[in-house]
Amino acid sequence: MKNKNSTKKFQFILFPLLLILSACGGGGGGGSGSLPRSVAACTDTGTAYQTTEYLAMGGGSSGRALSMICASNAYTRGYTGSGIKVAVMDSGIRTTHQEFSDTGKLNIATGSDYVNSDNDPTDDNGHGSHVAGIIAADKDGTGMHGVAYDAKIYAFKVLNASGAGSTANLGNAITGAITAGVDIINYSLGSSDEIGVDCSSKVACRSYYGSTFYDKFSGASATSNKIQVVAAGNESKSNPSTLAGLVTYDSDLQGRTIAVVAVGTDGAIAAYSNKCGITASYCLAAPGSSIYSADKDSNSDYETLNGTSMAAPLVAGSLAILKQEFTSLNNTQLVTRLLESATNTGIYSDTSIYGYGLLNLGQATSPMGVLRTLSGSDNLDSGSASYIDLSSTSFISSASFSNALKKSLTGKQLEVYDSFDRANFKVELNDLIVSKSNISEFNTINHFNRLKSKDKPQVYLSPFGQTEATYVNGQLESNLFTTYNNFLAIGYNQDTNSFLKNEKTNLIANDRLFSKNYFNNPYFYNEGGSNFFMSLNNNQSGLDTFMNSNSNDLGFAMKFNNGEKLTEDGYASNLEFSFGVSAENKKFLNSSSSGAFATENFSNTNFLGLKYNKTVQDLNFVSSIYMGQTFINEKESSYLSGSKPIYTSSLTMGVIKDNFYDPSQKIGFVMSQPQKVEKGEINLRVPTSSNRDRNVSYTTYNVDLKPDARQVNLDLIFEKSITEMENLKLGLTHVQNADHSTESKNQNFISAYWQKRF
Amino acid sequence: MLNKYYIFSIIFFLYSCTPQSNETIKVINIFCKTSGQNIIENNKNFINKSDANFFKSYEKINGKKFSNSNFIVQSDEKRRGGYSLNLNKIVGNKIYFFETSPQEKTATSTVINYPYCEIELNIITNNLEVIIER
Repeated sequence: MKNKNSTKKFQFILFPLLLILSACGGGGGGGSGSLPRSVAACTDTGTAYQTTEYLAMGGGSSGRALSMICASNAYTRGYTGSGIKVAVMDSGIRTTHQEFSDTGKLNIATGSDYVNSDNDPTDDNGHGSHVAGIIAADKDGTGMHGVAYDAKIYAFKVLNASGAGSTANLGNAITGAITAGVDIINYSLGSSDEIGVDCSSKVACRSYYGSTFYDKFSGASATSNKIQVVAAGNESKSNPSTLAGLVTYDSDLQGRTIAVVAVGTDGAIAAYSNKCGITASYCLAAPGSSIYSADKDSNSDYETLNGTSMAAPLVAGSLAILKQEFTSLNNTQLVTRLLESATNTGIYSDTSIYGYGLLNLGQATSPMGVLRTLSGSDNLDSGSASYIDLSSTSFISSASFSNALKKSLTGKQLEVYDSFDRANFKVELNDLIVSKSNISEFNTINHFNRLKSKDKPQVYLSPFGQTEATYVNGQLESNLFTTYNNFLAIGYNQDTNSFLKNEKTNLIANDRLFSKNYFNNPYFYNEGGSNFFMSLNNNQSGLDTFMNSNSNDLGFAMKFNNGEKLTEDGYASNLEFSFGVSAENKKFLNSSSSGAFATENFSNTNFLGLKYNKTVQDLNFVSSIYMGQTFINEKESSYLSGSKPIYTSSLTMGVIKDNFYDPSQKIGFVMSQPQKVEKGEINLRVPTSSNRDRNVSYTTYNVDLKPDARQVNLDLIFEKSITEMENLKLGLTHVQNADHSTESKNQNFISAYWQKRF
Repeated sequence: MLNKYYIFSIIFFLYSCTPQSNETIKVINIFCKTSGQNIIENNKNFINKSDANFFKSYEKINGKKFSNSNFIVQSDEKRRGGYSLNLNKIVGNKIYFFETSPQEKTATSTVINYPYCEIELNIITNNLEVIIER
C-alpha cells in the first residue's frame, strides 16, 4: 500500500532520511496458577473415540460417564494414560478377565494379597475388578474400556470377600505400592465415619487411625510423593469420610490427595454420596452411578455399580492421562490442574457439595490460559526464562526459500507452555510458518494491469531541476526530482532502476505491480509503506540510498558504469556494476519474524549487481544479475541460533524490438529468475521436551534453505499503437517451478489490453 | 353341640393343611454374596419361585445362579462393603439369617450393595417367614 495522505502538489519535495531506532520490547513473564475459576461444562468432541465400548461404562443416555467428563477430547490429543502406574487398593482383581489382557496391563507385586498374606490378589468380592476396569480396562472392542485404557494396573488386595479389610493391611499395602514404584494410588474405600466429626485435626485423626497406618498413608506416601485419590463415602453426609478427609488437616497430603464425591446420571450429587464439606479445597465430583465395569465371576463378567467407589477411579485414571500428557508438571501441579480445570458453573458452583466442581478432562488436557514460547532458560521457573505468547510468534518466510523451510520443518515440533502452570504442549513448527509466495503476484488482475499504460507524470521545472510527480485520484503516488546535471536525484516511491533509466522493458510492461520488478535491485525491498531514494551521480559512478518507511530498511549501493551514451547511429552499450549493503530491520531477506523467531535490527545483506544494456538500432538487449550474502542478526532469546550466511541470486535477461514489422509495433521477450537462495542454513534451537523437575531440553533443527527448484518466468509482450488515441497490448507469461518448488504447478497466462482515448 | 362340631372340623382342616405338619423345610443349596443391584422390589426381604417377579429378580443376580434356585433373600441397602448375609437356623416356617457388619474404622469398599442369599429349598411355600438378625 502506498501512502496517499498527501494532497498537495509539490514542485520540490525533500524527503528526510530518518533512521528509526526501535526500542526492543522484553518478553513477558510467565504467570502461574492464575486461571479465573469459571469453567463451563465441556463438550465431548472426540467423535472418533465415542465407540460402543466408550459409551458402555456409564448408564443413562445423558449421563454416560466418559462423555460427561469429555474423555474423548483427551484421546484425540493422543493421551490414554500409557506408561502410568496406578495402584488399586481394593479386593484384588480377576487377573484373567478379558479387560486386563493387554500386554503389561496388569502387574502383580510380590506379596500383593495382604488379606491372605500371599502373592495372589485374586478378587473374592468383585469390587476391585470393577474399580480397576474403570481406570484401565482394555480398549479392545469388547465390553467397555477404562478412562485411562493404556495405564498399568497394580492390584493390591486389602479387602476380603465381603469388601472389608483392616487398616493394618492397608498400611502394609501402601508400603508395597511405594516399593513397586506406582504413580497414583486409588482408594475406593473408607468407613462410615465423617471428617470434622470423628476427628477434626491432624493430631486427632492420627490418634483416631493409629500412628502406624496414618504415617504410611500420609508420611510415607508424602516422602515418595504419590498422588492419592480417595472415595468420599456413601453415607449422604455433609463431609467426606475420615480417610478421604484427612487431607483437610494434613499438609503432607495437601496438593497430592483428592477426595471424590459422586454425581448421578443426571449430573447432580448422588443421593447416597457424601459431600465435599470442609474438604472442599481438596475435593472433586465425578460420575459414580450406574457404572458398568468388570466383575469377578468370569473372564467376561461385568456388573453395574453405584458409589463414590466408582467416582474415585475416574479421577485416578484422569490423573494418569494428565501425568502422561504433561511431562513438565510435578504431582502437586497435576493435582492442582485437575482441580482447577473442573467445571464449576451452574450447580457445581456450590463448593460445599462439589468442592472444585465436576471432573472435566476435556479442559484439564487443553491449554489453560494462553500458550507461550519459552526462551532464555532451560528451566521453566527460572527468573531468566522469557515467555512470549505463541500468538505473537510467527515466521513469514521469503518466497526465496519458503518451499525449503516448509519442507525442512515438516513433522518437527516445538514445545510450548500454557500460562496457567506451564503445562507443556506440542505445536507443529510448520504451523507457525507463513510462506510468502511469488505465485500470488501472478494473478489475473496483475497481468491485466501490467499492460495498462503508465500514468503520465506531471513535470515541474524549477531553478534547480526537474520534478516528475504522478498522482492517482489526487494523491501523490510517486515523485522524482533530478537536478539538471543529473548529479542529484531524490525519489519517493520510485523504483531503483529509475536511476538507470534505459531499460526499455518499463516502456512496455508496468512491472511495478510485481514486487520483484525485473531490473530493480532485489535487496531494496520496497513493499509496503513509502520508499525514499536519494542518488548521487556523475557520468561514471554514483551512490544510491534507499529507505522503506514501513520496515525501516536501509540500503546503500555504489555503482560504476561506462557512461556510454546512445550514439547518433543508434548503437550504445551500457554496463553498470554496483555493490552495497542492505540493512533490514528485524527481518532478513524480506522474511519477517516475530516473537520467539524475532531477529534484531540490521540483518545485513552484502550484494553485487551487474546490469548490461545494449542498443543496436531498434533492438535493445537488457540483462541484470544480482547476488547477495545475508547475515542474520539473531536475537539473543530467539529460536534462531547459530545460522550461517545465506547466498542468494536473481537474474533477468530480455530483448525489446521497436519497429516490429512496422513502426507502430514493438515486441519484448524477458526471461527472469526471482530471488532464490543458492546456499544457506538457519538453525532453529527450540524447546522440545521437559521433565517434572521443570527442566527443558532444546533441539536444534538445521534448516537448509535452498529450494528444490528454480523458478523461471518467461514473458512475451506485444504492443501495437493503432492510432494516437488507441493502442493494443498482448501478454503471454509462463511460470516454471513457481516459488522455486517442484511441487508447484506451472502457470500460463494470456492477457490482452485495448485502450482507446477520447 | 353343632357349634362345637363345626369349630372342631375347621380347626382340624386348617391344621392338616400346614406344611410343618407333614414336611420340614430344608436347604439344598445356598450361595450368599452382595449385589450391586436391588434384587427384590416387592417390599419384602425374600422372593420365591411362585412369585411372578421371581425370574426378574433371578436375572439381576450376578452370582452362581443355581439352576434350581427357588428362593432369594436380600438385606436392605448398604452404603459400603463389609456386610454379609449368612443362614443361621430354620425353625418351623421361620428362616433365620444373620447379617454381619463391618467393625468400626474398618476399611470397606464404598459401593452401594445389597447382601443376598440365593437358595434352593426342598419346598416352595408362601407361608415362610424370613428373619434377618443383626
